[in-house]
Amino acid sequence: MSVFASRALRALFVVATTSTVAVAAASCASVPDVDRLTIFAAEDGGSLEPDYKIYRAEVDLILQQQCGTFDCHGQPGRAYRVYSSRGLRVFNPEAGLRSGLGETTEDEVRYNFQSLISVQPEETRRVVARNGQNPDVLIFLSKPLGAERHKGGAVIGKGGPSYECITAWLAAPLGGQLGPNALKQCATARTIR
Amino acid sequence: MRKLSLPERSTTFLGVAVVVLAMFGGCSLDPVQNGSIQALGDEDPAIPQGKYHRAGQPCVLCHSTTGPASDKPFAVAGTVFVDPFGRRPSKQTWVRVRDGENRQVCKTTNCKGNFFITDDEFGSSFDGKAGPAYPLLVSVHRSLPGNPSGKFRAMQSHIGRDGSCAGCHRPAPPAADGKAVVASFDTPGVVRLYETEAEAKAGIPEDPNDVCPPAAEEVLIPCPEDLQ
Repeated sequence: MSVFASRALRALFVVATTSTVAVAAASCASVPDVDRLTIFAAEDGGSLEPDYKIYRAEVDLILQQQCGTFDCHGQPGRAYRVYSSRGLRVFNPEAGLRSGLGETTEDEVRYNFQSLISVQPEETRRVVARNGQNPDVLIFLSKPLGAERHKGGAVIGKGGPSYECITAWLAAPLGGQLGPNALKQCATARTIR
Repeated sequence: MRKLSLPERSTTFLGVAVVVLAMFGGCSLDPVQNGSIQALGDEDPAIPQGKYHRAGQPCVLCHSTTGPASDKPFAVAGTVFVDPFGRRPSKQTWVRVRDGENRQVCKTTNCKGNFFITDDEFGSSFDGKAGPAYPLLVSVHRSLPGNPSGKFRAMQSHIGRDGSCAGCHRPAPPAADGKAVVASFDTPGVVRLYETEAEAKAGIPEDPNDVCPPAAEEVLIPCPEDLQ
């Protein structure tokens, strides 16, 4: 083997070994982040789930129409799965739910809510615990905003009616209500299909 | 004999890599796509491979850059039927697809009800890539004798990302009591002009003289907006 090749191989070995040791050391050296602790309930013991009534009245239809088509989140295999009367229905032979027929049922809306808040259950609770501040850490916002890879691309805009409605919902206290401006944004967002 | 030096070894590796890529470059390594294609079954021997074949199947599954028909990729493609169950093809039907950048492409179905749109027909979108910008809104429209407005239907929801109509629009399995149903819990049924067989027969009576594929080259009626 030539001198050049021998030196090149030795240099490659040194670089690979050093990189491996550095990565291994870095992975062991992180400091626990207290902000990452799991939060199950508010300090007063209250729930930190976002409000279901507001979700049902204002948010669910937006997500049904903009996310719940069969080729996107209207599929049973998706981590975030959306039922809707115009898309995927709950499989219930007795109820005979069929795509395109009837209204979205209360059960389907409830399942949509559970699916959404279960995408990142802990992160969602953290956002609710800080009254909706910095909601874009949630991937159900960052993905449709196009901030991270989303096969359906950027489907909502920051500051747009869908974004404003969803973030207002996350900021609303449990049992609370949305303000008039947020309600207006939600109504506009529900006209987008 | 001289030992293999590093540069030569690199060249060898490069050569092997090129050969491997050449062997597998034309095949999809996606097991889901491959499995879905296998599930479609064999060609109908009565219909040669071409614009009339595999009516009602998800076209873009194969006609994509990673599919076996990668030499002819489609952006949007599918089949329009007259009725929900008989699967009578709806020929000379205008399929209008409007994309997220408000560009509309209209194509006419052939005698099998098939149509296809390529990326180039949409032109380049804002990011410079050819093809439609999702989401898409779609409608079907067939002009009928003695009925100036014809039969028109539009999708209630948008298409989010799948260019194959049949990716979502499949025949619904029978209901639990064995009755035939138009739609199921996981599909709205096939793309159709009419909701019932009776409406379909009244609206577009069956023509025993319809032969498809035709003996001569089929002439498709252009969309009215393309005539201007």
